[in-house]
Amino acid sequence: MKIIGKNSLSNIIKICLQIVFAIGIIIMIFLPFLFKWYTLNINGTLPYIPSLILLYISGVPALIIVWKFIEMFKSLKEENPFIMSNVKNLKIVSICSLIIAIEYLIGLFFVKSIFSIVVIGVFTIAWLGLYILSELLKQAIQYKEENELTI
Amino acid sequence: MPIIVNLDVMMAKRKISSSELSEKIGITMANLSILKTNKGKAIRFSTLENICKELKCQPGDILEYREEENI
Repeated sequence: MKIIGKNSLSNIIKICLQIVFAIGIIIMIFLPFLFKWYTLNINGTLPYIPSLILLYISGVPALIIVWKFIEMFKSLKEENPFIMSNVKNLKIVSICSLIIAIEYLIGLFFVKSIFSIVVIGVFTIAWLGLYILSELLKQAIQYKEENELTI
Repeated sequence: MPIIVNLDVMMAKRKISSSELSEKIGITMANLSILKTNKGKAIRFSTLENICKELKCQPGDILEYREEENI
């Protein structure tokens, strides 16, 4: 199976991400009801309002991350991933990861759970890793441009 | 860039068209145009060799160094 281009793995992932994005928006809209149901039926130990605020504040950057990944996978479908807008997208994703990590770090004082610690760890690594990747992509674009203009 | 490609001058002297030269040296018209308009970043020795061979000239006839003027 092809990795990039039309009818490829990246295109399937793009469609999956679009579905995730749509579900994410629906969850964001109905979050107060869903969380109420969760606290009543599954886990009643979490404080309702602080948890809800934490989920809403982290939900927005999470949706931005998915949206930016959709844009990046679009460029993979067009077989042209070495563009400056992808560098910008990766930087935005890394900043969103940092925001989520910081939010959960602050949230740790209000909502104590092991899940928060895992989220902080994962998103801190994502922030650093994606920032380095964006710089790598920038250098790759410069090399590509130089190579294209060597005649 | 202070390196200037004077390919069009040499081509006019030898009375050769862009399409003819590009065909003879084996590069595309688009790449020859990049070279002529000084948009290129580098030139391969092999390309330079072919140009010199076809135009019967020296690299110095095509390439020129001019100091950048501070405006």
